[in-house]
Amino acid sequence: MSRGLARHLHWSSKPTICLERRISPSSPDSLPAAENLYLDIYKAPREQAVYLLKVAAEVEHSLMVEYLFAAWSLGGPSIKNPKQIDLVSSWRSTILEIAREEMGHLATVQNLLTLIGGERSFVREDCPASGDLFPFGFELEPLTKASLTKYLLSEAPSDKVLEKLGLKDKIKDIREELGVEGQKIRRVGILYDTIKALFTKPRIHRPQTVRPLSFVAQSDIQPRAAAYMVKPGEWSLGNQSLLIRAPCSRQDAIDAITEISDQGEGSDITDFPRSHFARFLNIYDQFPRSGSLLARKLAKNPTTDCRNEDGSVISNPRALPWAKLFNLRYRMLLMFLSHSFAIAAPPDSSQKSPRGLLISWAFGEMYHLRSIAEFLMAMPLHRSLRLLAGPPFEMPASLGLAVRDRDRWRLHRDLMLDTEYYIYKLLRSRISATQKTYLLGLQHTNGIALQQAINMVGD
Amino acid sequence: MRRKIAEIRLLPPLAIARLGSSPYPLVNYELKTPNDTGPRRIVPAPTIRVTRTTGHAELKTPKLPIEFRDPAGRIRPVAPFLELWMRFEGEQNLQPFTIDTLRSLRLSPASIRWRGHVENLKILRRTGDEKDRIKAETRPFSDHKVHELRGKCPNFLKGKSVPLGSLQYIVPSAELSGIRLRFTPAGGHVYGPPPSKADKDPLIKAAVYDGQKGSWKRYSEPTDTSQAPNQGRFLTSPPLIFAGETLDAGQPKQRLRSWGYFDDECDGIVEAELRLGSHSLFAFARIVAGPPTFAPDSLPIRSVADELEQAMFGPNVDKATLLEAAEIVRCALETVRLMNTAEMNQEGMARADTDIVKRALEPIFEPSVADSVAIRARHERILLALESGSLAWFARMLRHYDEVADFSTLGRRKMPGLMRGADGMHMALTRRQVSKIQKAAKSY
Amino acid sequence: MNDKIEAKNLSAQLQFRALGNPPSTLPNSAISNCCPGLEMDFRNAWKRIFVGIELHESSNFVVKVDPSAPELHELANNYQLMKVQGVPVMATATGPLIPDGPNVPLPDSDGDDALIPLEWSNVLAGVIYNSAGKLVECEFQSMDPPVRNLAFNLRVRNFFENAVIARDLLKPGELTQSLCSPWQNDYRECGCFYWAASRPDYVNVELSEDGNSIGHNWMQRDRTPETAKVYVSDDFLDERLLSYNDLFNGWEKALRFVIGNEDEPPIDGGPKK
Repeated sequence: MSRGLARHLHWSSKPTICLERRISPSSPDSLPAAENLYLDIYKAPREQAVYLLKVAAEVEHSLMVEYLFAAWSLGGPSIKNPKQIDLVSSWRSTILEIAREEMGHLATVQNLLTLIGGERSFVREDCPASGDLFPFGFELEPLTKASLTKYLLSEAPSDKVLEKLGLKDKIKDIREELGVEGQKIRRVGILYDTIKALFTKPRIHRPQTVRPLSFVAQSDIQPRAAAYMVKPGEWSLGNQSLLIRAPCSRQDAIDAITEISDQGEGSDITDFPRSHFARFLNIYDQFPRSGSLLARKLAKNPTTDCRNEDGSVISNPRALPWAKLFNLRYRMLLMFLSHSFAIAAPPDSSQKSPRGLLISWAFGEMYHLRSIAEFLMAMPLHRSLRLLAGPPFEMPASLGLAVRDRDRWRLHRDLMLDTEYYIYKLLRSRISATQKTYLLGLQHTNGIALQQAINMVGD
Repeated sequence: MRRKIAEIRLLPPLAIARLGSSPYPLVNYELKTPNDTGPRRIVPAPTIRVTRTTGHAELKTPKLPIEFRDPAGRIRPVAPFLELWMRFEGEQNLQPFTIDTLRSLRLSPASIRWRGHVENLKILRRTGDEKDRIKAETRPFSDHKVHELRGKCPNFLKGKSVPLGSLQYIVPSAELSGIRLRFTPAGGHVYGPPPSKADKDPLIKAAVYDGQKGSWKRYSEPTDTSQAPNQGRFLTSPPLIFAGETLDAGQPKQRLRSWGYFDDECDGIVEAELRLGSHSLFAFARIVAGPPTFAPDSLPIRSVADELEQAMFGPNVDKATLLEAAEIVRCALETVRLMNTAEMNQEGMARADTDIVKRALEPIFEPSVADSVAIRARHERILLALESGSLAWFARMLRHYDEVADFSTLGRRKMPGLMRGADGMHMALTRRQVSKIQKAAKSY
Repeated sequence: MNDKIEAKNLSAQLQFRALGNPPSTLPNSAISNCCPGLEMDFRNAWKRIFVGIELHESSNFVVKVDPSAPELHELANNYQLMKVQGVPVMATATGPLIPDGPNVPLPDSDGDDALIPLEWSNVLAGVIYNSAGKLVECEFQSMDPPVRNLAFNLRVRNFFENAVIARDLLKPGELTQSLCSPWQNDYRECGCFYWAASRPDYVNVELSEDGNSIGHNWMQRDRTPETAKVYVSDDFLDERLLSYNDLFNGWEKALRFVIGNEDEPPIDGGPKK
């Protein structure tokens, strides 16, 4: 978790003098100690909601890349047994589906931020991220039983719900098996419960003059901001499980948070089989004792930064430019998304905007990332294939958008020119026929997009 | 001992010809699929040039560019060849029937007799009048002359007929030793009855239909097809797809009355007979004449080849390659590249859904993402991801054959999007195509 | 010339391309989402798939009963095929009646729930493959009141003779009979442009400064590099678009090839702007 973002968030079993107030919604006695959430400064309700939504955005973003990494790690040429191939194939599909759903949650969280006048946030800390705050240390690692356990526990519902499902003891055992690390993992559901409470108007309303409001005021809920929200159909096309909501009212916001909770990381679950928790649990139950062999031997937290002592530096000269290309395309994805949010959807469909093009480009990047990741996962981290490189998902130095729209297109143009450089370099290096096919294809599509970006710059 | 022939076959089993009025047929070419997502390249390929007056032929590879028109601007017709193949008794394989085969059997090219029978039933299909059958048959022939397929019809004016194309048995030679027949389609003309008042109807090639004898000129279909005989149950689907004049426009009894026009498309069979003295062996193939493909470097996403393959091998595959899935996506890209998806998203199928089943009028996709450039970009990236060895999630987005009547928002957004299927509803691929994509997705 | 093909390799024969034949002679160049189709209306291939009756090519009506099957003669009185081996051949249309409304059965023009006959190609795919030459149970229902249900075991015809569509399945002229007459009618006012790959719709496309595409309608008369890129929507009264008259007697020079995304220049003698 970015220190800058969540620096005011604390977990504590009891308040200390530096903590201003507890914000987790249930009473201190009903929650385990690990789930009491505090702020160390005062924030007005709207500000609190914005703050926590940005934390939620970082959580969803981090979970998404973790799950993608984990899903992509599964399989590989060493898996030859047909039953195992089927097994990892179904796991991969499931985890990819969950990753996609996290993307939908991320979009909904951005819409909630827009609804109450907060700025959008695609920031996340590079992996390994600090585990002190929320919910566990994000790491990019191949799927193992241990890593799966972390995902499972972070997506788990409350103890009360676990008891109702008859799973309380099982989850307790699973947590203990993970050891110390298991005890530190916090449920993402707490965050959403807290956010939901901030949107909920209490039944008995205390007059404003008596004490400050404890919930987001009606005047701060701005349905007119809807033009800047992403619409479900813009991202999801026909994908039914991609849950994106564009809330326009208090109740819409509450419903959206409830839906995210039900599908993903919430404290309560109404559709158990479809929840992330249930699907991860299903994989956990299928995990053979020697589960680590079902994933490729990818290095944890691969990085292109040779100064990064916490990550696994990619030093292999063939893999490194691919990893840099991966980061570049990841940055492009984030910038396309960020830019698309900054363009208001035209009030009626006869009017045009470049939003659709940016969204298409963003989704196109997901396919590019998958392709480049496949290449990286077949290359060594250093020299031997004992440990393989993997997609680094490193965050760019900045996600800022230029003030003028034309200058935002300038950045896209420049990133496409950067791509041309990497393609040029890679085509002149030792690459396979499949890689060459891909690079030539990328060169073609990038070239078309570059020309389009130049047109949009217009100068 | 002379070997015995067990059977003969004509290949291809279904040959498509394409109309054009130029006397010079289109040369042969290849479609080269590029490594990237750009268009396929048209490159020259070995072409059989036939001297029509004699039936002699030579093999040549033309130079670029491939000319789809002649210097006078007329479109070059696509005139396919059909080859005679055979199998000896006791053998598993078919092989081309050549002049060497003829010699070994002590036969001559004249031992092979051809016959063609094509029809245009567009009028008959509507009027139900047997006298509206336009039929063209050749007598059996063994020479190498051009044999016209003259379409005759009892309801034509006396002495009139329409050319529906021709057949020619090509002279086998040392260079082109196979036994082959060529079908040349007609010129793509429109015919009809004489005009009521003027001397000539400028829109038709010739007046051949007798509007007094036949009812085609007076034939009409009501816009409200339930008012047609048998409540319109036997009309074509869609109905009202003939040239004509709208009468009583805007009124409940609005109808379309035919001008009596028809064309020179046709379909039928060609038959080869190998006369072996004591007996004959027969083989047949089907021929069809349709319009040119005006985007010849593109292929449709679902084709007659897919129908035939499914009818032959069933709706499921055991396994499929990434290449097979990629080819389907490439065809989808080729379609969207030439389609105004933003327009189709609001009109086209979106409006048809309201007209046919009273669905609420709404765009199919979010208008902001339906622009052609954006849709094309998405397809290009999916194709690139497939062809690089990794796999997109295309299989999830496909519409299954029994979901074509799902007009919900999500149902209409499945793939293929914005296109009409054979049942008039939202298009689905063949079940076999869907199975291929699913199997290819599963193996990655 | 091609060398040898195993006689039972029907796949190779289906895909066979004779020497000298361009790719556009092959079945993979002909569209098959036929409504009614372009090169052919392939739906006609299924009309006689059951021995004794003839079905409508696109709906499930029984249009004819073979005189040699007198036991089936009742089906000639306006019956429709409902199920084959228990599998329904129709589907209920569902969707919202109002924008953002709930999904409900949609009405047809008579106000009844719209039951849509599924295309034969897909709905009968399993039957044709698994039961060729065999008897299958077919359930019929009368179209007119009183509603009567009949069931017969009908034999499924073999679709092929080797790799050729069987003679008794399709007679000459039947593949093209239900297409537009003349075919040029299908090039104007087609409500669904389902074959852009053969008959382009949007050409000379480029990105405009609002981030969306601009280009020409392929049916626009005036289409040169100098022509303003405004797509003219399909309207048969709009004189900016080719008319039926232009197509009937001048289609060859009116319709232009699009190759490599490049629009052919106007043809001498083509329609005036």
